[in-house]
Amino acid sequence: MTSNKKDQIRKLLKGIETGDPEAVTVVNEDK
Amino acid sequence: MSPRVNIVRIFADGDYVFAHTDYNFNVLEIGFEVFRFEDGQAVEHWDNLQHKHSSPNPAGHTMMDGPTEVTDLDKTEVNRALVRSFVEEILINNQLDRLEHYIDAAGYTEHNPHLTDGLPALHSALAESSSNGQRIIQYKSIHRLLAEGNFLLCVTEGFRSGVHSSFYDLFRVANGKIVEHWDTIEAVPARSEWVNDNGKF
Repeated sequence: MTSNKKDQIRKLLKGIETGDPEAVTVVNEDK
Repeated sequence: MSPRVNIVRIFADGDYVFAHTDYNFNVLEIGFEVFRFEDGQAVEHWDNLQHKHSSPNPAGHTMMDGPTEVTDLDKTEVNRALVRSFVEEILINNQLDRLEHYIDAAGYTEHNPHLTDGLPALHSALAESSSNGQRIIQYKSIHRLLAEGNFLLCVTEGFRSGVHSSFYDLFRVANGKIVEHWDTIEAVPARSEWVNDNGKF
């Protein structure tokens, strides 16, 4: 679970570089 | 030029993930990123960015180099207590005579771009005062102290040269002493400049 969270944030931050739309699915926009 | 993101260190502490990042957004910046999770998704985010110095500090260390591997997971809470006590006693209450109790005098590595290794440089920086007698660096209150094993990130509010500032200090602890330090310092924007109502901390 911990590694999963780290991996999700790695993907999110690298998404700034790659533009990968999947990267932002970790963010709960409603909250 | 497209943005470049280098995640040099990343840690987890319960519902929090915190990362130490090297950015090239046409300007070079060093950052700390903190995310809080609820129900498997990130619901809150804080960061602290500082201009990246192009050259190493007087000891030859950059703002990012050094160890990245998490060890001593069983010592997370002991290390958290040590760093909390260090921040409260030394950084907030300025009891600099106690510095050696927390810092490994024989092996302290400093990554702040303006400082060098060892206790004397750290002591001088913390003791430095302006012409009006006020300390240049003033830590006031801890907002968050995140930890995973030997790495600990402390988020503190205070003042630098009289400017309301956010201090993000990453410490590495070994054998019960602080042995390495990285940081970023960012001025807290005036309330009129905020684009949300959440606050810096």
